[in-house]
Amino acid sequence: MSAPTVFEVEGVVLENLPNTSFRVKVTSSLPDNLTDKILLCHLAGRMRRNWVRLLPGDKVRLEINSLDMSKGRVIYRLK
Amino acid sequence: MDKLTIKTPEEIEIMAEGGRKLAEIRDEISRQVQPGISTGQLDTMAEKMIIKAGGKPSFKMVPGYAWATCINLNETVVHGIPGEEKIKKGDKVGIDVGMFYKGYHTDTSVTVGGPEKFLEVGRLALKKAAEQASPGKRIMDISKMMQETVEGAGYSVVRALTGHGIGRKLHEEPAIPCFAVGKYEHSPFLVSGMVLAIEVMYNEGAAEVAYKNDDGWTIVTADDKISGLFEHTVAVTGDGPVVLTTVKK
Repeated sequence: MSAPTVFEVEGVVLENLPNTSFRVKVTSSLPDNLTDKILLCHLAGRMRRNWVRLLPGDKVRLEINSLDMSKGRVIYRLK
Repeated sequence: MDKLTIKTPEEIEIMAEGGRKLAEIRDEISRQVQPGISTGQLDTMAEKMIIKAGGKPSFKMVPGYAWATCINLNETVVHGIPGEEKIKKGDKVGIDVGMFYKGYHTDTSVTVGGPEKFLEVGRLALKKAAEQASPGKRIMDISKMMQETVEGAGYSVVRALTGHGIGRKLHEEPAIPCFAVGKYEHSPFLVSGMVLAIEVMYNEGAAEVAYKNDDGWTIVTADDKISGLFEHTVAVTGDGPVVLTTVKK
């Protein structure tokens, strides 16, 4: 039995890293201890499968696990 | 598995407004509790007050449940269906009420009329548990506090039922058990913007509960001893916990 511990925030891509990793800055105002934090994020498998490309400056939606708030998972590229 | 929902300060403000109104209703109903009044009358009163306050009874939005409140008499733990039954002198009466106000639910309950020593433990457990609801703490910190307080007083916590997250839906993630379960490291962190309905459910006797009859709702203690329920809707904010279902501002 695992409790669901993920929540969503928005951010902006700062840097593309190897292996479809990205540095993303959180822009959501909540939760407040995360705002402006820079997280190492990977691209969700569904986005990788659909060849969604990210560039620095793109706004994205992230999924963050409350158990490790230093990493994120990019689940959507916002328009 | 739904995700945790993070509420903005504006959303929490709306919930706080609903919470204040609901708290007034809860307190008013608990003052109306007296021998001779039926649980159905209390329910009708609560429903009228909720509608007058501009909300809708949350519990009526639960599929299959047609009442605005749950009135839990004596051995009933939760989901006591209001009806013809009259309150007798010395009965323990638990009032559980929820309001859907401007798109958000708030949920609260209080127990009156039982032995004061027993009730005091529940109030204290809820107060202590709510104090744990700040960012950086874990769900288990809340659970542990409830368990320690209740079991420290010689009562037992109900294990089959939990508190819950609350917001646009009456029941959201995460579940908040009244006892510590699993590994502490696996328990979710609390982050600011979460709103939780922290419920302290405890029994005078053993922790076991059972369905009373075939109405599908009423849950009673297995050994027929009394049970208490105290609940607040609490917002986790950067400044610490904020109890939304409270009258004073």
